Amino acid sequence: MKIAVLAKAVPDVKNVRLTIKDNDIDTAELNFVINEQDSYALEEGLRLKEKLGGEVVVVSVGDEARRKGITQVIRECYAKGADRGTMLLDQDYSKWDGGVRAKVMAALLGPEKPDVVLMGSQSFDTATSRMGPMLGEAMGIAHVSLITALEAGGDGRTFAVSRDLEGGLQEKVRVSAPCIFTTQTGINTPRYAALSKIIMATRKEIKTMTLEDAGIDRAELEKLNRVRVVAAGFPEEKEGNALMLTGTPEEIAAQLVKSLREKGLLQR
Amino acid sequence: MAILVVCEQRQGELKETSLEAMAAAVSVAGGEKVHALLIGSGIEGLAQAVARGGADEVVIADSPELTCYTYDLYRAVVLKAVGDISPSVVIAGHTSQGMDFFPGLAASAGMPMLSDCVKLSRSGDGIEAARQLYGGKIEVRYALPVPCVLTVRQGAFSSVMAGKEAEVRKMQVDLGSASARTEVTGYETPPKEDVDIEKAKIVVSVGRGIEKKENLPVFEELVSSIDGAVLAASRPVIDNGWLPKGRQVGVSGKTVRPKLYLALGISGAIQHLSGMSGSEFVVAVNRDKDAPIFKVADIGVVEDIFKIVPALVNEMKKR
Ligand SMILES: Cc1cc2nc3c(=O)[nH]c(=O)nc-3n(C[C@H](O)[C@H](O)[C@H](O)COP(=O)(O)OP(=O)(O)OC[C@H]3O[C@@H](n4cnc5c(N)ncnc54)[C@H](O)[C@@H]3O)c2cc1C
Ligand SMILES: Nc1ncnc2c1ncn2[C@@H]1O[C@H](COP(=O)(O)O)[C@@H](O)[C@H]1O
Repeated sequence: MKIAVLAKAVPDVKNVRLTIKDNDIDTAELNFVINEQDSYALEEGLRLKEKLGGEVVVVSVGDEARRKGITQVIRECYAKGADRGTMLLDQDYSKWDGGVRAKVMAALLGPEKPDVVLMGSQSFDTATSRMGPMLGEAMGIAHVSLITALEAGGDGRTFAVSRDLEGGLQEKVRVSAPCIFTTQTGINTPRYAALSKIIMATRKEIKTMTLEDAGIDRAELEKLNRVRVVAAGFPEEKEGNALMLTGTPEEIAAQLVKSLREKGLLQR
Repeated sequence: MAILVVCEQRQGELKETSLEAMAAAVSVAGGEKVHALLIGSGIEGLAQAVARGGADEVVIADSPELTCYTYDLYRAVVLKAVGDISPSVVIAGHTSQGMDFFPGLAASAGMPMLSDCVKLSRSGDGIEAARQLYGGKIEVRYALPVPCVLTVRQGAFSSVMAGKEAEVRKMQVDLGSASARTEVTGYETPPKEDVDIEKAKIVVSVGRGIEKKENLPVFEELVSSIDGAVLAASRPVIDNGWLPKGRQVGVSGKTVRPKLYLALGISGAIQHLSGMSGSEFVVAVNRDKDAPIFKVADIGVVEDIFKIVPALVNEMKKR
C-alpha cells in the first residue's frame, strides 16, 4: 500500500520574542521543526505500513528559507521509518493562499497515486485546517478530518475511523481508499527515532523539485491566489489586563493567596 | 446579492456557533438579505430558532439521506443553495464539522476561503477578515474578493436575538447522482469519569508545562491544599495519558465555569480558552510573558510553575 504523509516545517516559537516583518513574523533567527500534529500523522502512516506492508512517502513544500528545516523534518521522518521524501521549494511559497498550496500538493501527490494520505489537522503557524479537504477536492478523493482512531481492514482498502467532535463526542465513519485523513493529536504516541537511525538518515537522498518539475503553470496558480495579507500585528490587549504579580516565588504566593482570600475565592 | 449562513445541527440540536455565524453575517450584510440554510432530516422545528438569530429567510434542506453529515451530500446541497441564492459571502462556524466541510466546499465552488476568522468587515468590494496565527500570538488581517467562504471562530461573535420574522422555505433536495464516499456509522460519547470538573468551584488546570507524569504529585498536593478544588488539564496532558479524558478542559473536552480557574503551564490556545473563558476569576502562571493565556487572566504570574506551586502549597498551609 502506498501511504503519503504530509510534513510541514514550521518555525519553533517557544520562548522567543516574536517580531513582525513583511506581514509575518520574522523567522530569520528561528529554527524550523516538524509541525507537531504531523508527527501523529507520520506515526499512523508507519503503523499502517507495519500492518499491511507498503511504502511511506513524505512530502513537504516551502521556500528556500525553509530548505534546511524541511531537510531536517524529512530526515526525522526517515529516521522513524519513512521510505522516501520529496520537497518542493518555490520563492512564492509564503504568498500562496491555502487553495494554491493544496493545488501544488495535489500536483506532487498525483503521480504517486497514494492509497492513503495522512496529515495533521492543522499547521501550528497558519492554523487554517484547510489542506485536507482542499487536497481532497484537488485530487478528487474523499477526506475525513480530525481522526482519533484508525482501523484498516485486512485488504487495506476500507477504514473505520473516529472523528473528534466537540465535547469529547466521537463520530464513527467508514471510508474506502483512496482517501485522506487529517489526524488529531493523541491518536497515537509518536515513536522516537534512534540516534543511529538519525545519523543514517543524513545520508539518505531527498528528492527536491520545482513547480516546473511538477508540471505546474505558475500563471494558472496565480489566478487561484486571491487572498491577500493586509497587515500582521499583535492581537490587541483586552480591557482590564491581568494584574501581574512580581517578586520572589514566596512573595508572589503570599500576595496571590491574600488576594484570593480577600475576594472570597478560597474557602480558607 | 445575499449572504448565506450554513447552520449546523446534530441529532436535532442546533449549534450555538451557527447563531454566532449569523451575527457575523448580519454585521457584514450591509443591506443584503441573510439566508440561513439548515441541513438534516426532521429539522423543521429548528427554523424558528434560526430565524430569531437574524435571518431574513430560512431555507430547509430536509431528507433522510441528510440525517448525518457526509461531505459529499452536504456539498451537493450547499452548492445547489449557492446556485440559487448567489451569495457574496458564505459564512459558518469553525467547528469540527466546519473544518471538515468548508475548505473543500470553497475549492469546489471556486471561491477563496478563510477559516477561523475573529473579525470581519466590508472593505471596498470585498471582505476584510482577521485571524490568529502561531497559537494566538499574532493577528493577521486579510483581504478577500467576493464571493468567498468564511468560517468564524467559536465565541468570537455574539449571537443576537433579532426577534424578527423570517420566511421559511423548503428546498427541493435532489441529490441526483451525488453519492457519499463516507458513511457515519454512529456516535460515541466519552465515558463517565470519577470527578465532575464541570461542577467544581475551583479548578486547578495543568498544561504541557508540567513536562511529565511523574511531576503530577506537585500539582495534586496543591489541589488537596485547596478546599473544593479539582485537578483538570489541557489536551496534551490527556493525549499523553497523564490524566483521564474526563479531566480535559476545552472545545473537545469539557466546559468549566468555576469561581476560580488556575492555569498552570498552559499557553492558552483558543481550543483551551473556549472551555474555560466563562470562569469568574482566572489566575495564570506561565514563564512565557507573551502566552495568550494572560489575555484572559485576572491575575498573571510570569514564573516557573515548579517554583510557584510549592510556594503556594506552603502559603496555603500557613492557616
Ligand atoms: C480540533 C481541536 C480541538 C482541540 N481541543 C482542545 C481542548 O479541548 N483542550 C485543549 O486544552 N486543547 C485542545 N486542542 C489543542 C490546542 O490547540 C493546544 O495545542 C493545547 O491547548 C496546548 O496545550 P498546552 O497549553 O498545555 O501546551 P503548550 O501550548 O505546549 O503550552 C505549554 C505552556 O507551558 C509553559 N511552560 C512550560 N514549562 C513551564 C514552566 N516550568 N513554568 C511555567 N510555564 C511553563 C510554556 O511557556 C507554554 O506556554 C485542540 C486542538 C484542535 C485542533
Ligand atoms: N507546506 C506544507 N508542506 C507539507 N505539509 C503541509 C504544508 N502545509 C500544510 N501541510 C499539511 O496540512 C496540514 C494542515 O495544514 P493547514 O491546512 O495549513 O492548517 C498540516 O498538518 C500538514 O500536514
